[in-house]
Amino acid sequence: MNGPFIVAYGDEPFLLDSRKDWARSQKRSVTMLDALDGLSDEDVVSTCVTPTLDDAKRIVVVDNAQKVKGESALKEYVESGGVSDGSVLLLAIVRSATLPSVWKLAGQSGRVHHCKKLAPWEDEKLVKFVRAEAGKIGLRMEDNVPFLLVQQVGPELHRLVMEIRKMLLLVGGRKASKKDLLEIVAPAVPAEPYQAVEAAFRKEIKKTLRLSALVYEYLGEKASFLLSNALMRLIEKLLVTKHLVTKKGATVEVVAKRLGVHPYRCKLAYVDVAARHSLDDLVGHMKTLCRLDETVKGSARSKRTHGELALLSIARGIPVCTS
Amino acid sequence: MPLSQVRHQPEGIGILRSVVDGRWSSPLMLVGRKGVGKRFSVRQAAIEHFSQDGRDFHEHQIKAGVHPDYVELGADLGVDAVRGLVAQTQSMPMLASHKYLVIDGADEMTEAAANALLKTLEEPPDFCRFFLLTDSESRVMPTVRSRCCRVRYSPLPEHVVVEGLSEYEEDPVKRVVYARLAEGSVGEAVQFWSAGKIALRNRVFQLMTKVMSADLPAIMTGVDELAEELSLAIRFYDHLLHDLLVMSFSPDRISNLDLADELAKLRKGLGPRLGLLYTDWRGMRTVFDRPSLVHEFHLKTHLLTLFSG
Repeated sequence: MNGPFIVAYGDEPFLLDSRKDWARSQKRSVTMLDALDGLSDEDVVSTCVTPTLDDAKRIVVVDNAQKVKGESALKEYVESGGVSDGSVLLLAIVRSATLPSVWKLAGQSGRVHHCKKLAPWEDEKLVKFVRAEAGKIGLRMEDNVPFLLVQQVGPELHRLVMEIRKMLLLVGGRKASKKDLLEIVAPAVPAEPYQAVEAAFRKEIKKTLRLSALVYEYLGEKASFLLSNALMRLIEKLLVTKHLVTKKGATVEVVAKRLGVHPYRCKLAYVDVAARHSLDDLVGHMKTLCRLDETVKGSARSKRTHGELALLSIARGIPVCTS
Repeated sequence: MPLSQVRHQPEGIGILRSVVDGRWSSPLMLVGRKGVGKRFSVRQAAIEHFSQDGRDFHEHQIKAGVHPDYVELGADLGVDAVRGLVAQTQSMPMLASHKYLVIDGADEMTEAAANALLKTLEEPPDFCRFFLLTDSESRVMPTVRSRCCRVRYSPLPEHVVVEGLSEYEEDPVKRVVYARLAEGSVGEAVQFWSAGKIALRNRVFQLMTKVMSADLPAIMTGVDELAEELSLAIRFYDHLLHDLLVMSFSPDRISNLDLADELAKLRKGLGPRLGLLYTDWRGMRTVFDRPSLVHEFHLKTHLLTLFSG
């Protein structure tokens, strides 16, 4: 199990890239190969078995290893246990959720690292990651800051690390506070249509207005189409949720299965939100959305006003005519 | 006389007779639903016209689709196909006195294809007769439209469609059902029969009954499942709703005669809500003429009107 092979695979680019950083930090010379350049298995083996002039210990890193063409030569190399004196370490970065057979074999005789992307609801793991990364560069944070950072930035590890580095530059030697965080963190995009729509159905009027303004600022006139479509998609799900919960007494798990979403997301985005509306209100809103569909795809002027009016009528719980 | 075999299309016959007699040479645009005899009447006119030379092979060759002077475009209406058709106008007829050039589905021509045709349509050679066939005049490019004389083909009477179905469908009730659903088009009635579209009609009817049982998720799923054939499903829904409305005072006029009992039950269950449903539907008819709208959502909303009512 201690062969000269390390295989890192998964869908989290930050963790995969960090394996390359690890290779660079070792006291060995590093040869970087990328299978996107049309690398074949024979090229990999040839690089491994050809000694360098100074005969130094080496690490051969193969990025995008899932795209290496062919596997017979590589398989033979792996089965033979690599270079006999152990001077060459082969590190394969496989950027996919599953391992090709040859790299699986290499992993079995060496080490395997699974670099799985963290889900948005895995808050604790993300917070732990933020603390660890901050610790590495000597940044001190107030207790609630790592959690807020995760809330603001989301589960993208690359971006989390960049924000931590920005924060270190801002605060210098002092402890980072919530205020510092708000100064450095900018949303990835101002707002997505679905966020405005979800806020409207949650009856958060101010948030709905703010988000819809951002959506229009960012997307322009086409925001009306996207908002209209997002509203239609969500209201259908809310109607089904409302019906299943109130008429059939369905649990969150049952509703989640019916809608094909994770139970956590289902509870947050559908069950809790549907509870704020009556069935008749939702049907009334559907009529509003039908008129909105006709209006935004017709020749009406000020489509933005129509879109915002529909959002507000939902947030207020009053079906209104938009045309 | 082959042209006299075309029935119930007086306007079409009249002008095609003028073409055959040499009194009309401008391009014609034949407008009418699919399956009401547009292409058939042009073929018959060609047979009659070409056969004036006393030779009888024209009819066989046209019917077999191999006559060199009778060219039909239909499946491929791209620019290359239309250019090929235009090239036909640069050579004299081979066997007949004239060339008949037919474009079936003129509304489906691409913009480039239509542009390739414009100059020839403007001044066709003396020996060429152009016929553009379409079921939607408004979708034909205005520049093409303005170069053609419009000839209207009306829907066929019910007994003609029923007669046309007699060699396919044995059940006389079903023949009437297909004829009424096809709204005066023999071609469409035969297509419904051969493609088993009655199953789609049955699915639409099931959807209506689901509304009565207040099964909201089933309604949503039901409409989503119709998505691929939604425009036809909407037409069938229109017929079913019409039947529900007229069956009490004129049961013979309903389209879906085979569902008469089930429709009566549904009507009883609906009671006064039927009026609400019909009023809502009438207001929605223009919606389904606009392809950019989300028709599934509009249909769901309409069905929920009944549900909430």
